Amino acid sequence: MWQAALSAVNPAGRMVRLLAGRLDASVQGEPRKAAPTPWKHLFVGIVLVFCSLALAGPARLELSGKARLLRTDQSVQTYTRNGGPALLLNLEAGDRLCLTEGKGRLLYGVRAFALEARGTACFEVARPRSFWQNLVASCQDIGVCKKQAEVAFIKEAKSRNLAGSAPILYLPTDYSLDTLTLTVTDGQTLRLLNGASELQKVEAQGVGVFTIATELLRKTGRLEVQSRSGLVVYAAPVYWVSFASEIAANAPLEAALALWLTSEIGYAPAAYSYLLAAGASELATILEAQIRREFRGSAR
Amino acid sequence: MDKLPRQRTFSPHARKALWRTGLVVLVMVASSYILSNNLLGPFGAFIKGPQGVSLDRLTKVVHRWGSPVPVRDFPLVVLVELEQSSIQELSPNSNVFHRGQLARITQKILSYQPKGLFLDFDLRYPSNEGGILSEGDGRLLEVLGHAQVPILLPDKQILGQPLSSLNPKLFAVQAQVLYDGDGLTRKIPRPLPGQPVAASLGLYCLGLGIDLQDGLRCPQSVALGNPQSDGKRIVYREIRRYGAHTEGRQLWPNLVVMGGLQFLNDGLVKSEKTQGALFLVGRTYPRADDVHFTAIGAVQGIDIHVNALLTLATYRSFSETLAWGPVLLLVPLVVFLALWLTYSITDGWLRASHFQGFVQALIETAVAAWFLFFAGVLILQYTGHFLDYLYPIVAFQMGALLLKLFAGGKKNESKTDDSGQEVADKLKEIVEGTGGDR
Repeated sequence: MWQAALSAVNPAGRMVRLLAGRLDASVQGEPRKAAPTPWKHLFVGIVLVFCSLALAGPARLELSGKARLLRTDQSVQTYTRNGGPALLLNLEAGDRLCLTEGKGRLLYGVRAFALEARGTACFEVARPRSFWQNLVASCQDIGVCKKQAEVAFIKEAKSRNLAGSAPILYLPTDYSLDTLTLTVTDGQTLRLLNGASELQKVEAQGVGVFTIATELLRKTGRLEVQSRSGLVVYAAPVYWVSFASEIAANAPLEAALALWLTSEIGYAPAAYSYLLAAGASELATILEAQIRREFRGSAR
Repeated sequence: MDKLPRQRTFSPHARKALWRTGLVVLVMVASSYILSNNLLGPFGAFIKGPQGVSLDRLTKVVHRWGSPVPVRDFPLVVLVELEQSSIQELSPNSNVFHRGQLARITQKILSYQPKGLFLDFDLRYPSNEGGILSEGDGRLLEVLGHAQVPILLPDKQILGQPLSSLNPKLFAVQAQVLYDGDGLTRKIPRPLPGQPVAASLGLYCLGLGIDLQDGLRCPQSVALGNPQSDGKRIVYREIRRYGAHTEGRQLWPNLVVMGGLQFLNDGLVKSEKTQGALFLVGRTYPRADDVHFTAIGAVQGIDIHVNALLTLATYRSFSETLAWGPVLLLVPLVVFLALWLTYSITDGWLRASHFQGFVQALIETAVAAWFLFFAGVLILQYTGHFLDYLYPIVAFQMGALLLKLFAGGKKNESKTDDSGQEVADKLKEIVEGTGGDR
């Protein structure tokens, strides 16, 4: 996972850090527990695995207010406590709780979480990973069930070879312009996607020139550019990057140069937009040619 | 073991398995003796290489499964990690984690009266260049100087001064991980006289209530095993990280993992269970800064220390291979069961098959190897010992070879020839049969 945390120090000494979201967000607990001697361990372990797979420790909520609880079977329950001693509520694995009014204190083992209707209101007890999931994962780890992984790898390598490595669109979190200009050779329509849903479709203004609202880009997870014939010419995720710069770049030209110095092609469209805003057309033309050359193919 | 002769009268497969088990054990004992005494000299590498790979496969299987409970009364282990959100909140725009915030975290940990605390930070020099102490440095020195509980640090020097001059409760430990020749981290370094103990071993001793000032007692608290191996293999288990406002179980039953920010916000309950816990504090962001390669992939340095500590606390030994007792009792039993199952399948169920000749030659070893592999997984899971299942497999093949050599030359030879001929005939039949159909 660490590879996701792209960290590069450029010659100017600035550090660029990619905000790597927690990729392992929904991993779950492990139900197995065993007794003091090895053979007892074995026996108890096997019994536990086969008999009770849902042994994840329940969390306990002390509620003074109103809470909405989504149970594993998708049923919704609402609890209210106004005044008096706190209401005690047990949460099982897979339950998701959200506070709508007042306060709550959640205990999970020795850990405590303060919940408030304003601020951190929700809590989820992670579902344990099933015996079967563990078995399949272990099997893949030792390379016995690697058929699927192999196929996926071949696919990825193939698309890379055919389409070239597509750059990911990086944007600094402090990007100050209202729009971003992206140029993609042969591009006709650009789709902004978030998960499976399409946020907006943008038509090219010039020859493969797209102007995209920054507001919209902040919600976008991925973008896809299609040519006139409907062929996908560029598809890549959009990453917002916290750009720890020593110099606060106020002027667009400064900001553009700071991005340019990273020599990371993913920043080029942002730098290009800054250059256009600064009126540095000569530099912008050079960068545009590079973007047109590089921004093609698809990246995961 | 006394059950085994009774099986003999029941089933021919059991008899065959028993006979082969004897051979396997004999070859295993001999090869273990040769390897552990380094009788092969540099040629030992030919065996040690594949041995390492085969043991890594055991690690890979076990790392997704829950651990047995640790030694009785071993305290709770709390990993306070400085992950992305903690670092952005507590120490933004700084390469060195803010020492004042580290002092705050340390102070808060000390309020739980821990049995031991390990700070996995480079604290040799003050935050500023030129040796000038910052305000945060001063606070950290004050907290560490007044600490009444043992604190383990990776270096013998703290902010420009020797540890011992600040507080006798501060101990230097070895916090570097040990790399094997192929660049993977597999072992907890063996304690050497005059050298600081490994961080995990130091914490383990503190967890058992052993004073680190007595330099000899700590290494003696674990079974040291073979003095020629350079360390104890770590039983890795996945340290699980949950998303924001989500929590679930860890695979090590007495491990708690929490962010530094959450810890400062009273995220750890003060109770009987948390009083006297063992604490580890380390950075896990930026991820590329302290990452090491292991058999299970890239792992953060502090996670390796946690796995090492809990390996010691759960399995209590420093030996890489099984002791003589288990070798002479457990291994024969497991090998016997594996072989018995194998022969029940190959000689029993598949006997009626037309391809019996094939089965005998090809599947027998493969099936036996799989059963022995699972035996290795079970032994690792419940005893923490890496049974080298490669030995039994190699021993099994060598044993079979020896059998062929010594079991009455001509008669046996003609037999194998016959079966080879049979297989060839059958193949011919099949090929011709399909050709005729078309």
